Amino acid sequence: MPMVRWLALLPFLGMLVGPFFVNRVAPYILGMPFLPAWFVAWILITAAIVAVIFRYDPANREERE
Amino acid sequence: MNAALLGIAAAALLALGLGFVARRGRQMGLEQWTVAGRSFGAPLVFLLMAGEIYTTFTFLGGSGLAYGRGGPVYYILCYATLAYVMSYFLLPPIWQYGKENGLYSQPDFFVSKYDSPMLGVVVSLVGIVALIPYLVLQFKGLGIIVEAAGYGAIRSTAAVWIGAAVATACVMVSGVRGSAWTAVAKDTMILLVVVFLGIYFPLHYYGGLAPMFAAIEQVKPGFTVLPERGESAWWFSFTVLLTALGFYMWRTPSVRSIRRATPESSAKTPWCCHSIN
Repeated sequence: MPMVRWLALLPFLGMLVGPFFVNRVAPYILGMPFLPAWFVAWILITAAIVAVIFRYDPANREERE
Repeated sequence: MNAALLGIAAAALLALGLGFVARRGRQMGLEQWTVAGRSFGAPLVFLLMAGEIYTTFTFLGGSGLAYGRGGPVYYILCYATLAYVMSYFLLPPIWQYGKENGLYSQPDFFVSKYDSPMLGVVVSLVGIVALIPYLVLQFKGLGIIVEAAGYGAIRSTAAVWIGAAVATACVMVSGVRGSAWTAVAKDTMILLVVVFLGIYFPLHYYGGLAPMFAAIEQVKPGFTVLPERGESAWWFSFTVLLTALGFYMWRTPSVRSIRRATPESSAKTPWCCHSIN
């Protein structure tokens, strides 16, 4: 499997393992309690990660040729 | 006749109109009807994939859960995100296989891939059986929303019949194109309503997001995070994993995957696959 695809594990860590460590109300971030702010941040990070995988995944390059 | 009724009627007519216009200029063969000739562009497929998770659940189940249980509702945000990550690995091979073998539907895929017509029958039956409670829930929700929004002028049962008739007509006439274009209207409207309410309510009643959450914290400490027991972090983690894995279980390991047809453009198009529920 292309190395860059392993990045896809990060969102799972952030969302499945993260809550054990960040399950708290304070500090508030952009008006949100910390836990929902953490999830919103991970949604954005996940979009970025998938964009990176798509950009550098050799599978997509082969198809272009 | 009140303003809400006009709005509801306009939305229903818009859906019906779009559903019928969608087939314009197309010869409706089976390939057009089921997978739109595999020729939907990236923006439309994006809208469909993002939009298919906005249903009556958005207005009823989601908000009800947030109001009643608090923090555990975040699972909705997480499971959909993780499911979309999985789709990067799952859908392109299915789309590719479906295109190479000229498949139209989910059962087709199992018949072809595992060389077993029986398996196709089983998948069809399971799909139909799974669809019935889903449809009942969606129509039930639709009825509740219309009855409430129209101040009781349209009874829930009438709303369900009208909704079912419009949906059936659109799909029969225009196939997946009908679903696609009504979905565009639906998703745009839901998005506008959700964004508007999400910003307006906290501002109007509390003067902002932060004061609203602070007010919740004062009345019910810890309501906006996961509880120690019951719907705890363990519950959360496993629920998100389970629902993320289940996301594509019945609706999308399907070859109704749609993507640009030409090889040059497909390289630049993100992986796009979609099934209509």
